[in-house]
Amino acid sequence: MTGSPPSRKSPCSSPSSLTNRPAAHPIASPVVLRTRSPLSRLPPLLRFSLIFLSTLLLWAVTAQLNHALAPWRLYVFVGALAVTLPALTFPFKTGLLASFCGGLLFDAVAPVSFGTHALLFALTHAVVFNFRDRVPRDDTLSRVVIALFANLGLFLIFSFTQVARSPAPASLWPRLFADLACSQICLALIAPWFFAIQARALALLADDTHRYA
Amino acid sequence: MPKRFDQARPFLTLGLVVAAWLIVPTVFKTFTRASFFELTAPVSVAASYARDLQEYWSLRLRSNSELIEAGRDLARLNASYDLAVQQNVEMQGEIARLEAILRLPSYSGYRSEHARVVRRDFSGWWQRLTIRKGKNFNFTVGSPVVFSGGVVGRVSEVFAYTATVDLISSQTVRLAAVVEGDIRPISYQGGLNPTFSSAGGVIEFVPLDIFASANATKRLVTSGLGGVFPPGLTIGSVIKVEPSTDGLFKSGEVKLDDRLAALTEVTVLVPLESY
Amino acid sequence: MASDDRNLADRSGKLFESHKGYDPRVVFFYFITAGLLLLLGGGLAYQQLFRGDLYHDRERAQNQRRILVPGPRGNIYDRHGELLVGNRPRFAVVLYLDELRARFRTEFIRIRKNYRETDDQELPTAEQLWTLARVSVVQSYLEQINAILGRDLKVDAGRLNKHFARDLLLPYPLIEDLPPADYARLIERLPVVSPLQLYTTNTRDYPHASTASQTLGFVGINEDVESNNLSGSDLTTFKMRGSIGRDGLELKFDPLLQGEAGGSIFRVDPLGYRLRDTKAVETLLPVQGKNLVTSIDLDLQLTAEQAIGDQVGAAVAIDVRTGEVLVLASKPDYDLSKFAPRLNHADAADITARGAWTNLAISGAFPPGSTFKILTSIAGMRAGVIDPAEPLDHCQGSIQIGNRTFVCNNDRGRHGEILLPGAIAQSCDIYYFAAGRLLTQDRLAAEGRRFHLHERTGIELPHETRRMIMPDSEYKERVFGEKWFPGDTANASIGQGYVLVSPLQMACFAASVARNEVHTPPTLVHRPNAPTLKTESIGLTPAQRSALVEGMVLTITEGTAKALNIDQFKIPGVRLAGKTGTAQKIVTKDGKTGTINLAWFICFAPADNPEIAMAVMLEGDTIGEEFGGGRNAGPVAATVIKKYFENKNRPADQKITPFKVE
Repeated sequence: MTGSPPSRKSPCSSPSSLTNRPAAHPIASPVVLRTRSPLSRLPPLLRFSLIFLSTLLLWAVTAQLNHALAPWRLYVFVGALAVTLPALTFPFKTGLLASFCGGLLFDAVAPVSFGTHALLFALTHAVVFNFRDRVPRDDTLSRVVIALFANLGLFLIFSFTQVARSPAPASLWPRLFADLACSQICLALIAPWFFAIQARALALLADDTHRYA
Repeated sequence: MPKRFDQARPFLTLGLVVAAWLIVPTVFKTFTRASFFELTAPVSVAASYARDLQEYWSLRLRSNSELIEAGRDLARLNASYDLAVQQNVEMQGEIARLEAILRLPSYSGYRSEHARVVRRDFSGWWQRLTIRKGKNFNFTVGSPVVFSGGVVGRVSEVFAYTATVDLISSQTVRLAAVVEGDIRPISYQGGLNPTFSSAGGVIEFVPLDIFASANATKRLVTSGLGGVFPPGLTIGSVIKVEPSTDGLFKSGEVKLDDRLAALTEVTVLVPLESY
Repeated sequence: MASDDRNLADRSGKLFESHKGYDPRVVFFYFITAGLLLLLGGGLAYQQLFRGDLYHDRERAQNQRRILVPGPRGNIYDRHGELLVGNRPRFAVVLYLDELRARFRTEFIRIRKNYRETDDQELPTAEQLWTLARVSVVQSYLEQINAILGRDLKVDAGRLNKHFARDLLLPYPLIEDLPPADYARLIERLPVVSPLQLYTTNTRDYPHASTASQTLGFVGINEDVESNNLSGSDLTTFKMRGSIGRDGLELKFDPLLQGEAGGSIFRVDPLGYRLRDTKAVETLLPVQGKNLVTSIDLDLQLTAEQAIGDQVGAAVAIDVRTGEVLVLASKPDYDLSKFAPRLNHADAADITARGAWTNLAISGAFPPGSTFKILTSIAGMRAGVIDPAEPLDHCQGSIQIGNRTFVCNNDRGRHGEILLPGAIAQSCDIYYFAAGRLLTQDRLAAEGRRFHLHERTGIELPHETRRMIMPDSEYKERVFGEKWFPGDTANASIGQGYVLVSPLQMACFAASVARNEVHTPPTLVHRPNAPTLKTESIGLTPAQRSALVEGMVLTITEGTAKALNIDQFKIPGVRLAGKTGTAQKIVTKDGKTGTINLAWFICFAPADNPEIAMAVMLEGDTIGEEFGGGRNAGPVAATVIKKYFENKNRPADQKITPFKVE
């Protein structure tokens, strides 16, 4: 029995949730007995709203950071942070919706086809969700590492979609790599804070929800 | 349900989302985009007001003598500008008279509207500013935006009380420019944004008899022929021109004003009459 | 089941069926199966290993398309680096049809739906609907342009369909040859990323319009642009139109001037549309052709053409030392700017009517008249029949040769006993009739052949005439089936009769005489450090040479070209040596047949140390008109020669700095 992964549909597949079923992968995740998490009892819409608001906060912070960094011609992109926690802990559809809408938020303030970020975030969500049972994901460090990889992928894919429009693509890449390095450093620095904010908000509201349910 | 299908379910769902998104009507997307933008606008505007407040308090910390000195300098500057304005008025009158004699069409007039910069968004992918005025000041898409050093860019989107400006360092901006003293139009496009260095752009269709180098730069100005920007506004300095392989033209690079990266206020030239 | 087990047990003697090692009947099928598998595997291996390349090529050929863009032609400069022929950009606004597949389809569906909703009984065919859809979509883009430029252009459906069918991957030009203001407006107002784009092609640019037009030549459309450097020669290829030399230097140096075509290879879908958001598989920038620096001196060329004016004729000036052609003028000529981008029928008909296609300097063959007397003099002196110090005959105005009386056409009856310099200066026909009689035609023709007057000069231009004639008895026998008469020799010795040469040949001859050699191969290519030509010496003694040159100088100072001995043509410190000539040509004009004069003048300068040699030939336009070498052709040559020395002696700081030639 320990070898068979749980169904993706099961809400118990979330590592942050406590469940009475074994974890998905004997190597990636230790076999622990978990009870049903208060978070899993949150209505999907509320969970989505919390994640969306946290994405708005993330955007606001990075926008101010980029405003300050502009004179140095540096740019920070940490879009993967908006995707990581929902992809690692949420049921698929709720997480996908949160990631997609977070992407739309990024799209609204960027000169790209509306939906570009959203679809890329959704794709990242699907990929991370697909292998989340095979990687450690409970500790912050693991989540940061996953976010770094996701951000790397998002940045590169996004760059490839944009670089063709440049009149001098060759001269654009050094700048993009500098931005990527800066983004990854910033992501590593703010990710623990951001994950903690998200987790606290969810936990706080979950308690309330539990109390008044 | 087969295990493989179960594993592919997220991607199938994603595929459905993508397909659904592709068939969503454009009107809906436009509305959604505007809604999302307006959702973020208060955040940016609030932050900009906070910065203004911060600046105000930092000025309050200055000593009275410093402020008096600054006021005196400003008065002198204003006096010289007043003189320049008078000369400009005189020259404009002369230009109008000559245009009337030669029966030349006069350039469309503009209304200058100053706006605070709310947010700078300078990535390798695009270079934009969000400014603190929008439809409430009748801004229109495409309006030229300038500052004391020359061209800033063009208004690319107008929202309720904010607007976004594509900077001339952005690859989405293309202008009809001329090298100062020349009349042949050349194409300028932004897109060079190296880290820790001045932004720039590329010029194409440069006539073969135009020479410039980093040591002997030439000023690139708006041609006025494009119908969007008035003529003679500084775009940047041509620092390199090289002949292309086809021997028809040269192409080159333009260095833009460093102050573009730290703008706090710009002027939008709102056309008085549409073309 | 139990009974079956029992039967099996009965058969084998055991309670279960044991495995049998093999069954010969089944083994047969094993072989067949193995054979078939082997065949299958072999076939697969064959297809994969041996025909893999073929399938790869087929897949490539099906999915990829090649676009060739011609490289601009090289520039043509004069010897000082002045641009004679360059390239002018042509700005166009184009539409990339291959990016509009989805738009076409949507429009097709919309139009079809409209037809169905209106319940139109005559629903167009699918092909007609597609045409309507394409025109509608392209018109919508054209409306954007119309709005920006304030025009009211409509799509030409026929042209669009043709382009769509043949050149789908090539940009479809909506407006060609945009003026700078419109081009600037579109730069600023068209979106950076759009199927609508500004596009530049080029066409030949002729800054000096008709100057040296027949020498420079013109280009025509080249439909068959090729590239050796861009791979994929086996792919379906779309070619932008290039240009190819059709005449003059453009034709002769086409391989040099022709640019290297560039282009791209794109992936396409099964319908031939370029795949969206994919970059070119391969891209190669076109490269301009090599520049050609000609030996032409633009200033002298302009001077010569201005001096000839509206007359019919040609002028050739040659650098005596190198054989480089400084001037190659021919009138009437044509305005080269009318060839860019292409010559219209009316202008072509006008050029034909004026007879301006022909470069008279190289393609015309004319009797050289008295300028030929220089050759007769040389031949006579070399043969020993002319002694410069001795009179040859007493010119009394006429001479009896055979049964014909030949008259002296120059100052009849006044020459008397005359020496060689005087005979040259006064162009005494009697002197040369006598010389010819003593010399014999075969020796005169041989001398002409020695100076290469019987053959093409080999100048780097097409259409050089082959009609030059250095006649002898064999020639007359061969062509006319008649024997050679002494009168023929008399005519030939003064450059009439059967003798025909081109102005270029006479310029080369003048240069050869100037250098005291027999051959000057002309060239139109400037080589800054070209060595001095060294060919066979004429073989005159110093006294003979001196008498010849003296005669040519006297021609200017007191002889038949004394009209040039005025301040207008005099060059301080430079003596001009020349020889006039007037030949006759029978023509029919306005229904009247008669002779018109061909005015010749050959010369070189300075007489003592020659640098430049010239030949000018002008055709009179009126029958019976007084039209001669000294009066008409001489001034053209003298003007050019004077300009040459003015330019040469101009202080360095007043010289025009030439444009740098790469």
